[in-house]
Amino acid sequence: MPKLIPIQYAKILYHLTAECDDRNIDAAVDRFMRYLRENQALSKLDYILDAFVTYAKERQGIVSLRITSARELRPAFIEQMARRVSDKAETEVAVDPLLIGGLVIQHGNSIIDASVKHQLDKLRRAL
Amino acid sequence: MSYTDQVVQSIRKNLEQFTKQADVLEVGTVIEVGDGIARMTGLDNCQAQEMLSFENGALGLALNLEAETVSAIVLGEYKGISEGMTVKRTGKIMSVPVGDALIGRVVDALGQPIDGKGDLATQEFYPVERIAPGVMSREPVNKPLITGIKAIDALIPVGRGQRELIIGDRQTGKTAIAIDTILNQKDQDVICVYVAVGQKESKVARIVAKLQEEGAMGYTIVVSAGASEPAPMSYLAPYTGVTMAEFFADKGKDVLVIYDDLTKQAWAYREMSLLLRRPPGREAYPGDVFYLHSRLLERACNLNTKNGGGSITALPIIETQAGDISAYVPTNVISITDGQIFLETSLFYKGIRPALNVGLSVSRVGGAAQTKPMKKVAGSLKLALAQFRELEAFAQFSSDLDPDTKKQIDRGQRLTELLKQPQYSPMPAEEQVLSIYAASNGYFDAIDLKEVKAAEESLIKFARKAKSALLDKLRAGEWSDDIQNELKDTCEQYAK
Repeated sequence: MPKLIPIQYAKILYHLTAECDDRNIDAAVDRFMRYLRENQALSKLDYILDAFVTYAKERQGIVSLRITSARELRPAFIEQMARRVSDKAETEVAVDPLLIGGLVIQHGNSIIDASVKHQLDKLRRAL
Repeated sequence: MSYTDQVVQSIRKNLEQFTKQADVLEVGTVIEVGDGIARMTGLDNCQAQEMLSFENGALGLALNLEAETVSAIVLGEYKGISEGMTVKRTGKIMSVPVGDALIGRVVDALGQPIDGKGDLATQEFYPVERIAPGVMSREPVNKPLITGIKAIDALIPVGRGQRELIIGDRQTGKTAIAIDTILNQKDQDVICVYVAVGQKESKVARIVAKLQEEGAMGYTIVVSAGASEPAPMSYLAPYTGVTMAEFFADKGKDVLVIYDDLTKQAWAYREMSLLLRRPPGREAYPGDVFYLHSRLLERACNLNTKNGGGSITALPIIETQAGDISAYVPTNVISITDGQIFLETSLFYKGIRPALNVGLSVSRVGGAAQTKPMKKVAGSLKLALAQFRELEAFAQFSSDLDPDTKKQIDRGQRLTELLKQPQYSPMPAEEQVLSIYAASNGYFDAIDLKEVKAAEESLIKFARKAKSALLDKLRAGEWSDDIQNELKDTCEQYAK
């Protein structure tokens, strides 16, 4: 059987603790850590926790967006873009001058690419 | 308008027509890469056999769709791919370029040209995996595919739309038969596709050079997945070849596809499947190694007139180890094909080349794929050879035998001698008919065994000069008592 990848451990942790109240949560986490040790996956803990945060947010309807633009954008504009995708959106902003213009929004596993660099790439291939 | 102005104008036109649009791409992240396999998370809506695009420009083929991950084989350089890289879906199922522009070109398993003659001017792409034509779109094989090799055309005839396996040990002349068949299709209106799977690059280069020398590249496509290329290319190459053939067959043309060889494709598929962690079966081959070959060879067909009347003839080649035709992959392919041409090392070293074992070779289409004249003369040939094989052991004692037995042995020896043929010299069908007729009716019996080949050559030269009308009739497939008498006359005239 192939080894479990971090996202799979993260899902296990989420479903284990989601229904727990405060008393049982310590026991659940303890059980989970022992499960990791049994499967020799303790070294991946950092990745598992990252994946857990992403997955938990997803499950609670909080959408994680990563907006990369060519220049600094005004916070109000970023808010506006985020609202268009979902009400509960968390944004991470980055600036990449190589995009020349426009922006790229990464939302989970899909990318909305509205950058000038992408248009130029497409144009080059079409020609 | 000057050339530069024209170029500027067409670029401007393209720019105006270019619509600006934000694209939604679906991506994944590589979590593991090695040995030509990449494993990725994300790619939620990835389809099976979909082409994926890696950041380093390489393409991948998604083969394992697991719960959280997708495993893909990398078609190209996988060393530039690292963990954490983004992978994009292309939305396209594995396809290759098809079209008339491919004829005369040498391409790799992805359809990209490797002969240095520039880009392909093809417009269409066909998917590499396709369901074979159903029963109702086919008709029985009825036209011959003349290989130019006497032993095959007379005793193990191949028809257009048939699958005939060429099987034998290494260095027994399998590729030689394939190349001679291609060379003989010059005026037969047949397009040839030669798929080189896992071959040495030097061997492929020699073959292409020979085809070019003999003018065969004018109707041939060469698809090559060399030994230095990753295993997935060897896995794909035969499917690429048959896809390119299907383009022509759909238009009503006859196509010949040669897979050289399927053993190496099975090895490449085994390598890929083990790396994809699919469970190994007998001889470590994956469980679907039969399906690997059956779906490829089923695409060879003879389409009925309603579907265009085209055909794809397949000549797969399988290499056996130590003559063991009962190993796993050879038995699989023997059960799929409509007959086999069995080549033996012992015959090869005895000097019988092509080293055909006439006893074990068979064509399940048989006479339906022969012209009338060939059918008539081949019947007596088969019988004479069978009788000779029974008596072969006694050939050493020929002086002590009764005249009838001695006659049979002499006849058999001369027939065997006649069936030997040098490489790169395919013989047209009508000349084969004449030669076999002469031998079967005893016109070479009086000639010394060593002189038989020379006698055959001069008989044919004589007929070409003096009896070209008869040869034309035989080529057209006509047969009657008159023609038979004319043949008899030709031989008698020659004997004088």
